[in-house]
Amino acid sequence: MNGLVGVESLANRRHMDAATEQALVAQSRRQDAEAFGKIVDAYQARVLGFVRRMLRSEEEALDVAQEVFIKAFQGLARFDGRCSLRTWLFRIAHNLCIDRSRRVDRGPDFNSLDSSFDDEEPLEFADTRWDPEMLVMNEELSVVVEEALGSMSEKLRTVLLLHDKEDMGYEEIASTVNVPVGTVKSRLFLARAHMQKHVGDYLASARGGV
Amino acid sequence: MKDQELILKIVRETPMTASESLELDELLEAQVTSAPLVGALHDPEPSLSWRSALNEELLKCSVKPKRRSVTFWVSGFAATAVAVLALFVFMPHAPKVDRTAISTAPLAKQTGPSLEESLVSAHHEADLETGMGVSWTPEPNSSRPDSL
Repeated sequence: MNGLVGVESLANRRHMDAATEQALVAQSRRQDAEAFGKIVDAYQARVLGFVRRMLRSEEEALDVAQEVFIKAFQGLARFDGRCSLRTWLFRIAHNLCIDRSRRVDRGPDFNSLDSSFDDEEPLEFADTRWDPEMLVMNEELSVVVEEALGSMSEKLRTVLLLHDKEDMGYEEIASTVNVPVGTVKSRLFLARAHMQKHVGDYLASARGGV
Repeated sequence: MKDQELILKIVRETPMTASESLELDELLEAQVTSAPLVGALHDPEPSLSWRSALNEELLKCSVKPKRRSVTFWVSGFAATAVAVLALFVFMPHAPKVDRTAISTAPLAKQTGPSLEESLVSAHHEADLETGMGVSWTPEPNSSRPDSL
């Protein structure tokens, strides 16, 4: 059991205040590995979680997550502070995941945005078959959600994770993924519709089983 | 059934009108209930071995440039110092210049033979005259009448 829906694990969300973060960034720019270690402490689980869901292989995800922090450490001199450190880290992570996916060539899953909708029933905008607030996030349901994430295109998955998991705003996601805000909204809508359908099917079958 | 045109625009990621954009915002609001499903997913905590491997890599990155820069500056400074020292030690000293010689030399050329040259030529002329018997050399005894 991971707890109720909407309750976030504190261990996963080690936010640091902006002043502390800025001080650590300044120290890290001077190649202070210890200061950068504190930044890693704050973001490692979230970055690894994101990368793990973007790539299929766990081993690959661990490699890429390390690469994210190494690249960030080496490139901190170029970090101008126009975006937040979080946005910058996730941009690096996103770019590395795309590079890795292209290298591995994951086929239609990567390129086709609407592949998830080609052979499915018409979209339902408000799925009333289940009420998420009443759901308990048990292991089984979390597996279903992970499956739904894995079955959607990479573009949709990225936006859904950044918005619903990392609590990023539309503008921030647009800057991270380098697409217009309207595109972010479109992708988020499609991703959520995909998720609702997947979870709705699971709940329907669970009810039928009972 | 909602507007199929809007759905096509969403799927194809084509630009929307202001009203369509508002409609999409409303649709996203209606989907908000599904957001906690993803938000509640557990992020894996990386292992200690993963972290120590990362720390090693970070340490390598932080040490290398420092060493390089210190070596660079020290060697650069030392090389410059040696070069300057060598310049002072081994620089050939220019001979002291006799300013009067320099200043009179062009004048001598312009005015004719130098003093030494004129003395030498005078000596040669005198010598020649003596040899040819042209020159009269007074005998010390010839002027005395009592010697006859």
